[in-house]
Amino acid sequence: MPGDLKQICTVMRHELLKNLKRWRLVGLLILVAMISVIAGKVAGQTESLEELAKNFLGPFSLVIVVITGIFLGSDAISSEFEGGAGYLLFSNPIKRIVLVAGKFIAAFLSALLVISIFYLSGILIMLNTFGAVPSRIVGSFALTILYICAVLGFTFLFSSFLRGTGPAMITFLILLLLMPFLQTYLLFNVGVEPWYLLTYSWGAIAGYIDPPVQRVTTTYHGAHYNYPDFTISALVMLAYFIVPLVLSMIFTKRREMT
Amino acid sequence: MEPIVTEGLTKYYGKLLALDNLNVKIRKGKCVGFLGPNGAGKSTTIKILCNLIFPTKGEAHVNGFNSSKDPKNALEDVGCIIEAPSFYPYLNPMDVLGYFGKLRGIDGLELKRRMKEVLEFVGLSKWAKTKIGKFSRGMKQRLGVAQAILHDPSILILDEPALGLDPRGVVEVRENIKEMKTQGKTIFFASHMLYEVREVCDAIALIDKGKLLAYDNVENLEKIFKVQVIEVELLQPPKPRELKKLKELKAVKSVSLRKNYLEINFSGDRATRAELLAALVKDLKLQVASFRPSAAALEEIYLQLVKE
Repeated sequence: MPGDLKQICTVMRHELLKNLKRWRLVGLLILVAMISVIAGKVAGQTESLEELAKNFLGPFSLVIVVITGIFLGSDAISSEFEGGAGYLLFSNPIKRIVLVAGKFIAAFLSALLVISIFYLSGILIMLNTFGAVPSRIVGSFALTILYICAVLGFTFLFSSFLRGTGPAMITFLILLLLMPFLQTYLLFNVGVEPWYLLTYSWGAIAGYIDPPVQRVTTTYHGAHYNYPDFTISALVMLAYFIVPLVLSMIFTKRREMT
Repeated sequence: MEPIVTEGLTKYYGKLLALDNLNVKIRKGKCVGFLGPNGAGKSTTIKILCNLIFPTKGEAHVNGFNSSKDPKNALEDVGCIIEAPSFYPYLNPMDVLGYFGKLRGIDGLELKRRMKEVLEFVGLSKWAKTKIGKFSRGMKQRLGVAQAILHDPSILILDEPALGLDPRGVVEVRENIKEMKTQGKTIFFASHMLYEVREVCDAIALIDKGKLLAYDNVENLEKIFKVQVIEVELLQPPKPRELKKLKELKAVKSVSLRKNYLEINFSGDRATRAELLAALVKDLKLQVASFRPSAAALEEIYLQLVKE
């Protein structure tokens, strides 16, 4: 029998093939192309390279990253437990942890391709508009990679114990509604920095390009947080990636194919 | 060492007891039918053996390895078909078999050869590169058989492999199983279809409400329950006088007639069966076209044991 590492590679290759054959990857790349075209059209209205980079990596990339995570991760595990697909897979001599690991790596590599093309198109727009690229874009890219890992960790976690569209819906609700709402409330109503929220750490991705001189300024209403701390944000993303992924492995191992 | 062993296997779904201290041992090279009504615990047993669900108490061993604690070793030499297998519709048989083959360590030319062989065996060679979404239920079931035997396992665990198939599909799956039996594989085969089990299996394990009610070979069960049924096809329907004489034979308990077919319920062993055939041909001068044990005996045993 092949070792765990070889089986992880087999699962990963098969999942990449699945992503290609069901057109999800192509769909995501079309979305990237559409957003890049829109971003390119409005690029001329920006006054500086840094402003363009911040706009491009702000809301646009948040949408891309969350949708990519949902497309590639939300049914990665749950689909095996529905409709009898797992009857074939789980009765093979393979550890379920190995399956989750292989599926996660495949989802990550697919997401990496999407994000890389998104950044590449951003670089081309910046070169075309200002003839230059911000030097700190590499750091921003690294943070985006961490963020997509965290989003995938989230989707894998929900996929390990929910069925149907549940994982996609919950990830969408948490990352695009619940956490942003909580973040706004804590920042502006309570005056507390919600450094532990994944969506707050998102601010580091655009903020890293051209950070204001002072991270925290004091106003009449109290402290105002201009952008999250980069190191803490990276650690928060890492935690949101590792903890849910480990939990998803535990839940998948215990989940029954009834 | 028996290839399949369950020891005190118990499974609760919430408060519902699905398996109650089940002890079964299946000897190497034997084909054992696993019979029981809906909800008897057949699928639960098979799912535990295949690491799809986990026992509440007790253990299931395949080839000496605990199927829940060490599935990688336990399932290495096992092929499974659980109910109607579901495949991703956008993949083709080559994708699916290639994946499962590689997971089991078959690669390169050997994998190509085995994929070709098993697809020929189940009659899907022509559709090797067709998307599974276009397959009929029967074709998917045959692909399920192909993936189960891809690695040429010595043990097959089959749960309702003919579920939902049309008569032709049922016959095809049965023929596949018979063929695999001749190859000396150990087969554990859950089914509702008594005729099929009678045709294919060496022994029968009968289960109800999670408890094993009987486990023996068909002839012994027939002896124990004093039920033997022979199905006889005649060229001409018997005359009333011939039928009366037949009913008067010592071993015969009852006779039913439907067109040219007789169903004779008798007590005795194989020798009695031979005597019965001789009486039909020599004494009654009936033109016998076929003479074979009927699944009706098994049905009678089943009904005696499974009361509700």
